[in-house]
Amino acid sequence: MASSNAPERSALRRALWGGGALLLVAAPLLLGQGYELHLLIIAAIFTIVASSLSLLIGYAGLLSLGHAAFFGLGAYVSALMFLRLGVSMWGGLFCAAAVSALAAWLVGGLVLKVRGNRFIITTVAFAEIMHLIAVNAVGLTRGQMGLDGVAAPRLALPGLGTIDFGTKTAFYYLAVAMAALCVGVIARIVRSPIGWGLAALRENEGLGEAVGVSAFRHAMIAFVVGGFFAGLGGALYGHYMQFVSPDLFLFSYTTTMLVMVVIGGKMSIAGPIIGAVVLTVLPEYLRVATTYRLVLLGAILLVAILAFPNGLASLWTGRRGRAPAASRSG
Amino acid sequence: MLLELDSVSVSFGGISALKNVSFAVPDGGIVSVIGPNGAGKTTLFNVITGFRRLNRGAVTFEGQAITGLPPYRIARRGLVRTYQKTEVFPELSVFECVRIGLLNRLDAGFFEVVLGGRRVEAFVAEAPRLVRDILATVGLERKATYAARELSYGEQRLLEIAVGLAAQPRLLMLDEPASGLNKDEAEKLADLICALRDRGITVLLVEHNMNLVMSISDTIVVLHHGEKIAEDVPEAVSQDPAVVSVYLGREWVADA
Repeated sequence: MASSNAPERSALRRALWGGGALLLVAAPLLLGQGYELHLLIIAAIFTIVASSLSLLIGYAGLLSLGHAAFFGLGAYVSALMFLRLGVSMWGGLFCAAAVSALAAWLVGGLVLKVRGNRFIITTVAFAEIMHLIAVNAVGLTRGQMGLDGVAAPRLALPGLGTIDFGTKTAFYYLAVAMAALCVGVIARIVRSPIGWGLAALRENEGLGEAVGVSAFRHAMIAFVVGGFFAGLGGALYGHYMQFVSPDLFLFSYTTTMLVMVVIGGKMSIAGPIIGAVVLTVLPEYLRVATTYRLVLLGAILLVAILAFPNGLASLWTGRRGRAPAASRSG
Repeated sequence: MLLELDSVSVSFGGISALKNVSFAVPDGGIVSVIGPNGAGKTTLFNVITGFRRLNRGAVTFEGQAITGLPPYRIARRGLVRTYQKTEVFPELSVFECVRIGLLNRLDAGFFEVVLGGRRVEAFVAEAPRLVRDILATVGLERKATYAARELSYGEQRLLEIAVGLAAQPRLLMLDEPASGLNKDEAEKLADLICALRDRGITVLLVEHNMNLVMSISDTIVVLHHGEKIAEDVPEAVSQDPAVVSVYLGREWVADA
């Protein structure tokens, strides 16, 4: 806010966001109901998850490697409520997010007292514990068999007919709306005084405490909000895939989220969106390379991270290398 | 009394860093703590501000016990410190650094902040003006958009004081603010500290620069091996035999 945001740049930025929004709305018309739309739905869901993780590893500076725990927890909560209690997806989404946030609060009370390696290891361990529960509580979760038949609802609009969220088009709009909500809330948080406190936590915890900024409180806010949206993303994922398994808790999911955040830009609002889209779409288009697909993917990501240490989002915020701090204020 | 220490003792690993230290800081004015390296000055700061636990004794601020409170709660009451090794928020702009200090003035819950309650909106709207005023006070108004890490050492010291000022302290504790400053900068610092005192901020100073300490302090507390060996006005302290013997061989009243 202080300076450096030339009017042209902010106008360009608005135009990009506006154009992007328009494209998103028109996407089902342009792409049809095919595989491309499927990829966009996955990208939208992972935008939610990656954005929530960026709050932790980007803004708060907490390297949580257990984000898949909240993702999987949300998926299971919503799936179980649907299958066992007959609660529709709408209630399930809300409860999944709430339960994941509650879990984050409980776990956060323990792990946010420590930093560095101990914090990282504890978050990994939490996800591993959740995985083991999902595998072994067979009576509840059917173990490795997973839970299938997790459907999306139909929504009856009086006078307008019904919307079947089992269709790709309808679910696409739902996922994009949820992603927009998540990104909006996180943008709001990081630009509010809470965001200033997160910056204090990230940059210099001791100095922050010395001037009255509670590191624990801000870490907890990031953890709980992160858990909330990871749970929401997980629940959406379960209802879209119509299947939930213990694999959702695996470290590979955390890795994917992490790469999305870092590649896109961990301290930008657009970063996780870009990361989610790139990491969802790129592997599919690399299928032409058959055997060498993943090698190629790894190489591309490596080059991207070296060329844009602040993430691909720095392409349009113009922040490469170390950030000139003034442009980051919100 | 604004701040009172009553028989504060701290030991770690069997070595006592502070032994039965008692003194008081009256409201208004400047109190300095001096003593050779290892005398326990920084430990004293850490104990008062909640960064280190004390073994025995009590710390009272504005008549209320603050012993055992976490640092941020102590800061919330208006007791704010700076660090011996200069601390800033390196990647943030000077403006943003100072703005963080302002958070000490805001008392609002998560939802009130995110939903933008009226108090929060007013606070956010007022912040830029407050930051500019504070930067002008310390003389960094031209550096507002610089990253904190881009500032010179002396400027970073001033920035740290500015961050502390933003937190609206009743008592500002400065840990060796003049270390590493040249004579010119140290004199400006002395002027700044006096200006803060004139605005009603009480200052507790740990400092090696004897010119600075002697010229601005109302009272000086001398620590040696964790014990208080003198507490008096500057002229008396500089004549005190115990103090002189501790500093024997040092250029006592010259530049440290």
